Amino acid sequence: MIGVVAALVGAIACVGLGGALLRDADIDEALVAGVGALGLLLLPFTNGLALPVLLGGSLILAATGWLRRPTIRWPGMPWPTLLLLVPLVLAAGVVALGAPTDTDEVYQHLALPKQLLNEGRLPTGELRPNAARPLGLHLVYTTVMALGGATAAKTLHLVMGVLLLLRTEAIARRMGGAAAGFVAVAAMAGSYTVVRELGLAYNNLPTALACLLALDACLGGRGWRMALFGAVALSLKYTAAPVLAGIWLVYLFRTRRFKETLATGGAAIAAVVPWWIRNAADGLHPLFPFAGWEAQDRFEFAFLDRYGMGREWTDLLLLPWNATVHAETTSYVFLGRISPVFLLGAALVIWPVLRRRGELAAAAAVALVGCIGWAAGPHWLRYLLPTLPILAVLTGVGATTLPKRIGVVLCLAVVGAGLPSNLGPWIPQIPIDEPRAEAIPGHSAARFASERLPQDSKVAVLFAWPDWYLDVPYVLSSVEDHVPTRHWLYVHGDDSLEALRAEGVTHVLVGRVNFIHKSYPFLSDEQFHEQFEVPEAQLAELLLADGVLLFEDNRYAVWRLQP
Amino acid sequence: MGCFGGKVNRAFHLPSGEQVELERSVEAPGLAEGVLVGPTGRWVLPATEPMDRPEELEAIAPWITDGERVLVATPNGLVLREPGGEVHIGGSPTPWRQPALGEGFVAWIEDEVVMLLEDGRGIVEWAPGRHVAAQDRIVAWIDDERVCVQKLGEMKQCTWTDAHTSRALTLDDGVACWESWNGADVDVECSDGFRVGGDGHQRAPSRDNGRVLYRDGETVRVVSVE
Repeated sequence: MIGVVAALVGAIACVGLGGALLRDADIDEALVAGVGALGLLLLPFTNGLALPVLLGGSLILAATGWLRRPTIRWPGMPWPTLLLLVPLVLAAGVVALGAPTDTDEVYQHLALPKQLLNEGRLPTGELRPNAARPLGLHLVYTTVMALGGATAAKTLHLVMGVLLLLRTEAIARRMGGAAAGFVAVAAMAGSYTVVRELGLAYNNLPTALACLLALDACLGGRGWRMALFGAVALSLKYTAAPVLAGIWLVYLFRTRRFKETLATGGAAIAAVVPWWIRNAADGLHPLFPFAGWEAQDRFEFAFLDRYGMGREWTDLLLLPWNATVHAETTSYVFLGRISPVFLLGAALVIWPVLRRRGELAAAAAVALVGCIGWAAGPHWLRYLLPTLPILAVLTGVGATTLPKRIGVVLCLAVVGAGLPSNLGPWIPQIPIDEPRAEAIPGHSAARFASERLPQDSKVAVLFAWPDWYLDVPYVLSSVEDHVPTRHWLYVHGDDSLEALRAEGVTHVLVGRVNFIHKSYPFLSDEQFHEQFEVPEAQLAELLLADGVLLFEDNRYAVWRLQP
Repeated sequence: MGCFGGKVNRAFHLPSGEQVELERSVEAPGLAEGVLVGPTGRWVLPATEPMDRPEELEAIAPWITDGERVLVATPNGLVLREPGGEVHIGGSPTPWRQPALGEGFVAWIEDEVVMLLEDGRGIVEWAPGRHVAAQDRIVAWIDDERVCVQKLGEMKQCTWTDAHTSRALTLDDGVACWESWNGADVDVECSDGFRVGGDGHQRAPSRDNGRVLYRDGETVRVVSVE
C-alpha cells in the first residue's frame, strides 16, 4: 500500500509541476508535462548523487508547482466508460501489487531505476546500453520507487494508462458523440496489447498519452503545447517519432505557419538533445543503443524480418489484416494482439473522413503516417501503441456510421467477441502464488550473486536478464537476440573476459540460450553460425578456461573470473 | 551416481542395464543404492512412483542420501531426516553445493567446509573449500588449488589440481574424483591417479563401485576403473 501512496504522491507532485508550467490544463496534460519536466531535471543525477533521499525529495520540489495555483481540470467520465474501466483498473491494480515478473520490467523498466538507486549513478556505454536510452519516465519512476518500491512505479503507470483511455474517449466523443467515445475506449480496453501493460511499469502507454495530447494540441492550434507534449513523447520512447511526424505535418497543413512548425518541431527535438549529449560525452553515438555499435559494419543488430509475417510488398499490403487477425501474444508474429474491431473501424471511418474533413481527417492523416512509420520498423504491436489511441478514435467515429442496433452489437463484439486473449491477459499475470518470481529465468543465479558474492563484486550478466533481482553492481544483460552480449563477444573474441576484467568485472552470471536457426530463417547457415552459435560456444569455452564455477541451476550459472 | 542438479526422470541400473522411467520427474534428488529421494518423494527402485511423499522442504541444493538418512540444505539451515526423526542444523549453506552425509558427521559448504561432528565437538569450520563429499568416516573437499581426502582422526591426503570447473566432488571407497583443467580442456581426475582425458571436455564425474560415469560433450559414458 505504501507503493500506491508513493505513486499518488508522485502523480500529485508532477501535476503540480506540469500545472505550474501550463497554468491552465487538464489533469493528464499537467501530469505528462510534469513527468517530462521532472525527467529532464533529474538527468544530471544519472552521473552521480542519485541518493534515494534526493530523488524522493525532488518530488517535494516538483510539488511546489501547486504554489502557483494552476487551474487543473478533471477529465469527463461518462458512466458506461467508468463501468468498463473499473474492473480493468482493479485487475491492473492487483498486477501492480505483485512481484515484478514481466520480462521488460525485470530487465529494463524497473531494473534501471533500481540500479540507479542502488549504485547512485547510471553510466552509459556499451556495457550499459539500456541506460543510454532517453530515460525521462524511468527517472520519475526512480523518484517514486525511492519512496514506495516497484509498486509505486507500476501504479503511477496505471494512472497514466487510465488517463490515456479517458483522453481517447474524450477526443472520440468530441468528434463523434458519446457512442464514438465508448467504442473508442472499448476498442482499447479490448486489446491485449493495451490491457496487459496497464498494471506494469512500461513506457508505451505514457508515450501514447503524450502523443495523443500533442495531437489534441495540434487540432486546437496550440503549437507550443504541441511542442511540449511532443518533446515529452520523444523523451519517453523514440517509437513516438512517426506519430509526431504526422502531427507536425498536419499542423503545417492546417496552420500554413511554416516558421512556427519548424520552431515547435525544433523545440520538441531539443528536449532529447541532453540525452544525445550525455551519450556523446561518453564517447557513444548520440542515438546509441539504436545506432553506433562498434562493429555495426559487420554485425547485424536488428532483424526486422523476425517480427510480424514478412516484409514483401504483398505482406505490407496485408499488414492491417495480418496484424489484427493473425497476431500472436506468445510469438514474434506481432507479439501482441489488438481488437479486430480496429479493422472494421478503419473501413467504416473512411466515409466520415471524406465527408467531414476537419479534425477527423487530420486525425486520420496522423494515424496513417503513424502506421506507415510502424510498418517501416519492427512489426511489434507494442510499437504501434503511440498510434493506437488515434486509431481507436477513428474506430469510434466509424462505428457511429452504423445503425444504432448494429452499433450496439459492434460494441458487444468489441468487448466480448474479441479473440480470447484480448480479454484474458490478466490471468497469467495475477500473482496468485507468491513464489512466481522464482520462475524468472536466472532468478536463483541472481539471488546467489546478490546474497553470496563479496561486497565489492561486479557482475557481467551474459545471455541473461534477471536484473531486477540483482542487488550487486552489474553490467550488460540482454534479452531476445542478446545483442549487447553477442556484440561484446564478437568484438573482443578470445579476450572477452579479459576485457570485462579490465572494466572491473569480477563475476559472470551466464545463461545458456541455445539459439535455434529456425527462429532466424532469413539467415544463412554461415551467418547464423557466426552471429549466434560462435559467440555462445566461445563464451562457454572461455569460462571453462578462465572462470571458477560457483553456482549452477539448470541453464544459469555464476562464475568467478580468475585474476 | 550421476545426479548434479536439474530434473531427473530416468534411473539406470548400471550392472544390469535396467532402466526405470519415473512417473514424474524429481528435482535434484539424492541417490543411494536402489533409492532416489527428492522434494517430491522417495523412490525405491524399480518402482516408478514414490513410496512416500514427506513434507516438502525448500531445498537450495541437490539432496543427499545414504539410503536411510536424508540431508537437505535449506535457506534456514540443514534438515537431517533419520529413521528416528528429524534434526534441524543451524547454518547458512551455500546454494547449489550439495551437502555431505558421513558416518557420525554431516558436512556442507558455507563459503568453506563446515562439519557437524557427533563426537561432542559440534559445528566446526573444517577447511577452505567449494565442494564437499563424504562416505563412511571419510570426508573430501575441493579448494582453489587442491582436492583433499581425509579419514576422520587421520592425516589428510591432498592432490594439487586445478578443479575450477567442478560441479561437485564424488567419493567412492576413499577415492575422490573431480573435473580437472589440463591447460586446454577439462578431464576427469581421481585421487588414486585414475584419469579420463581425450579431445574435448570430460565433465561431471560420478564414481561408485569401481565405475566412473561422466559426460563427454553431449554423451554420457561409463568406464570401469579396474
